[in-house]
Amino acid sequence: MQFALAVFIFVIAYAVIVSERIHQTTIAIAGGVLMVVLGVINQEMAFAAIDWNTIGLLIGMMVIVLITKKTGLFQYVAIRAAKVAKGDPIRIMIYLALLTGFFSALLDNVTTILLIAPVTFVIADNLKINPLPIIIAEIIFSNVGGTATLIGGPPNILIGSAAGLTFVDFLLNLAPIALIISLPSLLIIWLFFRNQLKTTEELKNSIMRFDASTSITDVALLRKSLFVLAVTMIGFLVHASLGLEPATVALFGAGLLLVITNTHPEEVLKEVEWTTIIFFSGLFILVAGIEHVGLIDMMAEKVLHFTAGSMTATTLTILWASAVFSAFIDNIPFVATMIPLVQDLGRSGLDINPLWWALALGGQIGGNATLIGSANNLVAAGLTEKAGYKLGFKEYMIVGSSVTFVCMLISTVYVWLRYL
Amino acid sequence: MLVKDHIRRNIITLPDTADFRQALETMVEHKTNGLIVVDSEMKPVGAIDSFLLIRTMVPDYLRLDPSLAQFEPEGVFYKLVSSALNKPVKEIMQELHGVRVKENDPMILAATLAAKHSYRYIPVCDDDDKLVGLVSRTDIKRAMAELLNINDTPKT
Repeated sequence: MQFALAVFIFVIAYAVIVSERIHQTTIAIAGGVLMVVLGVINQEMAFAAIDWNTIGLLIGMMVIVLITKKTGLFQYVAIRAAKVAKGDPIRIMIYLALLTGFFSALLDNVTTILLIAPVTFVIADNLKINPLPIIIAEIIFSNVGGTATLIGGPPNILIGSAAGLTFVDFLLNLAPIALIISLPSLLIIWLFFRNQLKTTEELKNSIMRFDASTSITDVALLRKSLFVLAVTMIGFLVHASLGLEPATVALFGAGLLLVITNTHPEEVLKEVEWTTIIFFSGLFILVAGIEHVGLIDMMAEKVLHFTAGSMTATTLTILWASAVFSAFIDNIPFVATMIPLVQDLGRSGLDINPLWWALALGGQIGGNATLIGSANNLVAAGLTEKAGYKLGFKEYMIVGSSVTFVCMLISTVYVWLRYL
Repeated sequence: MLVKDHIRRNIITLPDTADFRQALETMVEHKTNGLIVVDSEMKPVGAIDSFLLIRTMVPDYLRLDPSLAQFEPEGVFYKLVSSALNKPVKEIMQELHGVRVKENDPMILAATLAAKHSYRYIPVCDDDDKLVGLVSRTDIKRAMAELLNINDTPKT
């Protein structure tokens, strides 16, 4: 009975989250609470299921980014990039894509898009070109860059926290492949759009009159933010040897920045995405419910049966299944569900590490295939529409899925050579 | 002091089928910054003002980062206004959510609604919810002055 209840709540909640008929946070709260009300798990178990390391890391990074983005640092760098590109549209696309990848490795992907897309529209207006090719390149690289680090995106944060993988682990295992797939991704985007990215010499010069320094709104705040960003990054690099969890590092950075800038906490905390934080909390409880009744065990057995317990088959199945799922549903609930499953597979005697990297890689890269594959894709599409351009589902998918397919082939070879 | 003491009856309204362009034209023609939007039965459904027109015209990406607007080339302003022209008023206006007063309501109710919401005009309706007049911020200001016997002759 409990089993049926848990599966019922989970499946309905999942279906509604995917259908986007009701806000995902509402469903996560309702579903999570139902797990407790209907006696699948008790409240103590539900609260214990919330991964505070993930929650703390998310909040800490949000606070740091909220304060830092006020300085205009990111716009400054983007405008500089356009000037270094001497106003040439193709070079601008390449530089902004790479910059998006870099920012996205350090910030969450949605924030990165919200910072880089506005600059892109203004540049495109000046060059009198269609901004869509550059926006598409940025979407793709926000997901590619997000793959590279522990803090690059929620799926990685979830995996890192559950598996006890460090910032350096992510850097050593995922940053190389993120770099490797950057080149073919750029090449494919270039092949699609090379004829659209043309402008005149005169218009190129209009980019050169941009004064990037006017983007910097507050030099003192910028210095402090850069200092705290550096401290936090160093903290991430050495967190394991200091015996500190990533959440502690992020919250330390957030606390330090609040103290030295004497920012009123209310001003920052009201902008923290509490809806997202609550969504994660509910999701943890939902997953704990089906884990408790043994559904995850059953699913893990099915996977092992399907792959006949072979390490290679299991790893590649996870890699590709993650990509396919993430192309059509939000990768956060998917990864949250897969985590206990992978842990189960690890208990069956398989080497668990390659499975984690396969899950992270597939989940992030798959998000590039369609416009609905990742939250940042949709945010970019929304901004584009409001700017007077239409980024259609099909139009994006032709480029996005081509890039994803090639990236997945390369990732398969990478995983194969490195781990199998 | 009642609403009817300070009501203005020369009401200029906008039908809820109008678009951005008609809203702009009506505001310019009647030299006003705000209009009440009414349905086909003259029932008030929304409020629109120059701020809402401006906010509709300026896209999200510039509002996210206002400092970028300085780099926009000549012609972007025109392009943005042009692309906003056909936007339905229903998508631009602020819904009234039942905010209205009657002629015999006390003036303090109109003032309270004006303080609580950012509408430029508080609609005044009859018993059938049809619009019969408006109370503007200016009307409320005049009502305050009247209470204090402040008149508009300059002090000497």
